[in-house]
Amino acid sequence: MTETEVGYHAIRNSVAFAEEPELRCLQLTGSQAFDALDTVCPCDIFLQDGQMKHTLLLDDTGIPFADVYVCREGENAYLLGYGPSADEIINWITDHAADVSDFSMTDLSKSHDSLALDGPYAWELCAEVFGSDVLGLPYLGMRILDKLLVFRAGRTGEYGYHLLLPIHEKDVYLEKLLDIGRTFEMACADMAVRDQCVLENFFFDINREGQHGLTPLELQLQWRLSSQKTTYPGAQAISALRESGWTRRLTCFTTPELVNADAEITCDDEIVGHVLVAGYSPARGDYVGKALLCQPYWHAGLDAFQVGGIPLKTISAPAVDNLSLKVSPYRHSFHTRTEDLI
Amino acid sequence: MRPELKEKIEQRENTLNRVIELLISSLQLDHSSEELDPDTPLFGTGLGLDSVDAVEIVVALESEFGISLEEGDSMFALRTINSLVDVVLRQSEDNLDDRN
Repeated sequence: MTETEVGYHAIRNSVAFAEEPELRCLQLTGSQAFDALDTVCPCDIFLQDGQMKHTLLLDDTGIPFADVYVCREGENAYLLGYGPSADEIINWITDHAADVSDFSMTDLSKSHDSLALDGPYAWELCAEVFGSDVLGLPYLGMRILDKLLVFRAGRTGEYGYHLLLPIHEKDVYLEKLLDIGRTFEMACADMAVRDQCVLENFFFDINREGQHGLTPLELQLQWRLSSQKTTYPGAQAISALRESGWTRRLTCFTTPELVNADAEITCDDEIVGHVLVAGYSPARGDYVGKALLCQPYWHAGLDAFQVGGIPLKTISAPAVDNLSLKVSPYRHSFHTRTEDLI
Repeated sequence: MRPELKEKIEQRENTLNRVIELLISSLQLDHSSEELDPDTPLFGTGLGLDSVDAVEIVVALESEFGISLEEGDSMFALRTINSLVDVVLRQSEDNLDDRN
């Protein structure tokens, strides 16, 4: 197997690790830290201790420029995610929350390194390396263990953890992780492999479909927005679009051959949309992608399309059945996986 | 547009709308139907439903569409709104085949 195949196999069957320098993490402190987040985020900021919520940061035209989680730990708020640099996010929040005074932001990448663990048995390896407290962490939960920040999220459809390790202690943690990881057949998964899994699971990627100037309504991300809130950046544009209606939507598809990004999609010689991103799905043995399709062709379950002679079928997302759905931390173990008959 | 494609799209759209209305009413969701996208995840992230909601959905689907989810299927059928629509359409087709 190639390195890519080994990394992919680990994400889908055991556990894979990756350094994640592209992950941004800001800590917001002060009595108005949550007010600041509430001012700039399009979701409702009602967070219990240790809870995370998946949302977006929108520009004034309602286009997402960052894919983020907002989190609460004690009195502190955290903003974790992908997109612009930490400094750019800090400047943007400072500008847009100018009326909120008592809060400050710290870029944790200056003191911590980020590591991602993904896979159906990531929970078990995490517990062995970082302690059994990790096992009790629900999806979209965060915890601070000593100086280590653990966020349970991920975008591969498998159990996923983002770990923020203090830079001066990283080598100790990493050595332990690699040592115990060997018994889990852990492999390194580079960004290309993780992007492949993100695509298969139809997770939003700010660096791919997020670069096409599409709104959350067209991206099928309305669940990341509050239906009640009216005063976040981009709210007016979103409200206007909801009123006027939108006529194209991101839709998951499969093809038997690779199709190019930007390729036109036709139905009986009529152009009905175009491909935004596509790639090979090892789990399926064919190609999956995201297309921007016009109404009324934007539905899943239609096999009436072509891309330059290649048949294209729209499907319901996600495109794969993840093993993690069947693996339970209470009943299963990587070490007994063959007897577990999952 | 070919009539058979038009019919298929209408069938998909009607079922999708019915499933969305069913979710809103049976779970008392604080959303309008236009705010629920077809590929919205149901559990964990997305609508953030829980296991009690899952039971409600299974009961509501049986009542509204006369379909039942097998235990092994439900894990995958309940992933998104669209995956529920797939199950409804597939079982409706199976039921039609059985009657014929």
